[in-house]
Amino acid sequence: MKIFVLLFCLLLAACETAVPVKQKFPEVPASLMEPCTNLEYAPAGTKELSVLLETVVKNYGHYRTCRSMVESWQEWYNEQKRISQ
Amino acid sequence: MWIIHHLPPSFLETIINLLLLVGLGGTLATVLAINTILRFLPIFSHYYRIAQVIFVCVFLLGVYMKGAFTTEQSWRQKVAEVELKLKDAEIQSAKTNTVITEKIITKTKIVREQVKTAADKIRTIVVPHDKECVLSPDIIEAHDAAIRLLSEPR
Repeated sequence: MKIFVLLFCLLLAACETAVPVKQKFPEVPASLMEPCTNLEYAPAGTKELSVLLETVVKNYGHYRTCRSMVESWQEWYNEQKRISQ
Repeated sequence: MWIIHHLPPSFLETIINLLLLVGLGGTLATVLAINTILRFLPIFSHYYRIAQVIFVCVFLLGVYMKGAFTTEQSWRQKVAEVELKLKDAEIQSAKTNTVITEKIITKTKIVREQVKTAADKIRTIVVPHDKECVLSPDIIEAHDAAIRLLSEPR
């Protein structure tokens, strides 16, 4: 009886085939996770055109930085997709 | 098979091949050469039927285990290949991250320099005209209202 039980276990053991191989989702660089800087307001009480223009130029700079982050995200995604294929 | 996981493959292969050989050899001997065996071992005549059954069972077990072992080994090889590919992919991903991080740092530096250059130009060209062009608070408020509108979360 014990031998039959052992044989039965041996036969059942063939049912198992489990070797999971998982691909880890790649880590994104920390610099891409930083939020975009907020736009700046003109300093309170400003009357000078130069001060306003400086604020506008700074905001252009914030936009350019944010845009380069978006482009970098796209580049990162496309590159990771190519690597994983 | 969970048994195969815990035993060394070479040891398993030896056992399985032994089972096959013994099973096949015993089956052939008890089926084809039984008369010759009984001539030398007459005492065996009472048990040769049981021996036939045992040898056939051993042979079948050997075939079954051989199939399971071969399948397991081929799956292990496939897994090893995939794991190697995944490791390569991880290395490439890390390199990509480094390249992109460096690009962002460079681009940010360039933008800062360009903003500074533009601000310097404004100070040089526009500041002398500030007295001629005094802005009313409405203009500043219109600028700030646009910033508020664009900064609102959606």
